[in-house]
Amino acid sequence: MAEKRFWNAKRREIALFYVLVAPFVILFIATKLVPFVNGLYLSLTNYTGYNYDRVEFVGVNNYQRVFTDAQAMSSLGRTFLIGCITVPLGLIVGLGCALLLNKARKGLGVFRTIIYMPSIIPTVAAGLMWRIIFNANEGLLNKFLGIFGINPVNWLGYDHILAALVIMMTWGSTGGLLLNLAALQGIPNELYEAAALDGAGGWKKFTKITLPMISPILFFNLVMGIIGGFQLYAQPVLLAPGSNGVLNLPLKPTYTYMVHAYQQILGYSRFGYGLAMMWVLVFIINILTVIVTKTQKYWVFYSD
Amino acid sequence: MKNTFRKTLSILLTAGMLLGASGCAAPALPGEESSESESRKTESSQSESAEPSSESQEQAPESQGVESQRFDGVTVRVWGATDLLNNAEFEKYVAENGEGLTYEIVSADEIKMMSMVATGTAADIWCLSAFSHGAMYAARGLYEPLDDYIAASDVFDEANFTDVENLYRFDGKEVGAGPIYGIVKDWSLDNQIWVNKKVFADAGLEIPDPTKIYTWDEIREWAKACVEFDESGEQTRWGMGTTNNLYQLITGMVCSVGKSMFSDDLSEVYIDTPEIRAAFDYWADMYKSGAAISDMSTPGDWGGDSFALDKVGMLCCGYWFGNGTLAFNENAKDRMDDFMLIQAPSLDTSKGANACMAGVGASIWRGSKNKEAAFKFIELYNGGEWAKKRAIQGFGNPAQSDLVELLPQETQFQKQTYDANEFGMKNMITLKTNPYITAQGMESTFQQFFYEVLYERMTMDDAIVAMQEQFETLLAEGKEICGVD
Repeated sequence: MAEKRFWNAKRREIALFYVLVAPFVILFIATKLVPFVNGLYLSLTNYTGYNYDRVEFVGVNNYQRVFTDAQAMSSLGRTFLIGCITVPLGLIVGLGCALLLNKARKGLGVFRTIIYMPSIIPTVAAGLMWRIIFNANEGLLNKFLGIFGINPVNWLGYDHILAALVIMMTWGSTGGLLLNLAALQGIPNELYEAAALDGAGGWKKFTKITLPMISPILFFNLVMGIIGGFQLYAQPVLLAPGSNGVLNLPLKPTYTYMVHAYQQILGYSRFGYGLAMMWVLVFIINILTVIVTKTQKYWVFYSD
Repeated sequence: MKNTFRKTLSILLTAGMLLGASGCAAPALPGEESSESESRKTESSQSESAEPSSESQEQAPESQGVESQRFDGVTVRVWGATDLLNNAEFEKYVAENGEGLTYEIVSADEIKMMSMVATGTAADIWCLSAFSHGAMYAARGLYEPLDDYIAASDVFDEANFTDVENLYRFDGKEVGAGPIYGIVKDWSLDNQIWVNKKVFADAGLEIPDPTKIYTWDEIREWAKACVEFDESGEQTRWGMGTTNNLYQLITGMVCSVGKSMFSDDLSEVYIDTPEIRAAFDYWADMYKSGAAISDMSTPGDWGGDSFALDKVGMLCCGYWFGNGTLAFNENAKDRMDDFMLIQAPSLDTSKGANACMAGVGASIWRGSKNKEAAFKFIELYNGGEWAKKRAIQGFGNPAQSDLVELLPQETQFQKQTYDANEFGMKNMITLKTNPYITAQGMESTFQQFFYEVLYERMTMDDAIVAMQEQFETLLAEGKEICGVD
């Protein structure tokens, strides 16, 4: 009987797998898992930034504080409401642009680049650009509205800051475009031809063929949108009054949960409490993601 | 057999990953090259066999005297001195006078520095604002007291320090008394006012007297008089811009009438006062009327460039602006006599109001293993020939009284600003801060409620109650951090 070699093909394949994933796993542990666990530990302490050598365990005090802090709770509700506006809008804009770009026409590549560009511009650059556009005095948007006889609007003021934020985020929501486009192009043409033969019009084809076929991608974009929506921080800060950088305080309509968490850490040195706020958010996002996942069976179509 | 092999291989690889991860997480040791710090080592006559400083160089200043020590092989790490980045002239100066000392600039924000403090790798020297960080970090045990070093120094003389040094003094009970925890490099009376004479003339305003202390109400009248709109209703001229934040402006206003937001023993905060209410009302009015540059109405900058373009009538930002910025502005440098400096306003005229609201200085981190070398660096950076050179350039007031006369006084503009600045220094007040509440905490709280009042979403009374509660919480937390009852 031939002697079985230790390093046979199977074992080599397994070893190769572990070698190839090792860099990612090492980096994940070092840069994600260790800080995660450290953050969880510090959220149970009275860490203030400079007392690491004499930090004290405070149990769940910080977590209790999250639910008794009126500002934390109101900012959480506000974040949820903003998400209820921006996430669906983002999905609609992303899908709408993909539908427009799915048809073969002259200059399609140029249009795709232009429409996709907002999602690749760095957030800070986009924020600074929109601050200039929204400027009540010489901003582009007011100048444009002035052509139609509309009086200048203080976009960065209390009454309109939320609208300004929604406009800015909708402009940058073409990130899902590529996925939507790929999904649209994956729909077999025969389905549309068969539907046409049965007398289906454009709307029927869209609702009965297009939407179900791309529903997995819509589901993915929805989940990512929910996660991103709850983590909303940079855009409100960039549109906030003042010149204090990351510590600019957004006006109340755009004062989100993450802004409040960052203020606790950077503004008030309440590291333990700020970290507890973030862990509460992780929990909330997970719950919501599970709920949305459970709804899949009602509206997401998987061909297999 | 197969499963056993897989398990063994998995365990071995996982152990290897964990060991590798723990190796990745190991902090750099003090004195080692850090990939995160920007190294600017000076050329020096260091011996290759010399080792980095440890206990051998940690001698009491009385026994040896800083000036006679060598620092071969010692590298001090400096945080916050952005003016020293790529500064070949200073590198050469340190190489010639540093007794073998070298330095490297550490790029970090406060969060990163906290991490470095936790791992014992923080920078030796912290160059931060005396107003916002001096007593605050001293109270938290992060700064080394410098009295013994100063006493043994040939460069610094405590009797020669200007009153701005009081921002770095804290005896555990009062800011402005007790040990010194830092030495200021440059400073200004940050609430003095720059006036654009051309704008004033155009607005029909008389040129102010630079030795008179005007009230904030008078300043507001002038600011509103400077405001202009074009035919389409767009604002084309503003009354005032400032680099000071709300906390600085409010503190300056409160202290201008001899009051303070804090009790003498720093145990209480007073928010429900006429002065705080007046300050809130004042700036809300200035913002709403467009008299002050704000996010409600802005020329696109804080006012510095627009001031030179005759779009802003006044700037509240101190002596440094004149020779340090305005003199280099293309729209201003050939007509500097169109600008002048006047005294800081007061809520009433019974007391002086000139105060330093920043004052960047240098302090030694208490955990530094190179304290002697760090003080040597401070002598080079904040004192001696380098301080004289900076005084001659006029980028700010020197911390040492005998250097004040070196400030530029050649042109008419320089003479006027020198006289106004000197008058201000004679009438200077030290702002009363509370080291148990961070300056950022004060600013964040004021900002939060100011905008609620500004946009009439909250009454002044409700804002006062909410701020009082918030400040009391911050004070209690701060005292706990500092170990004070």
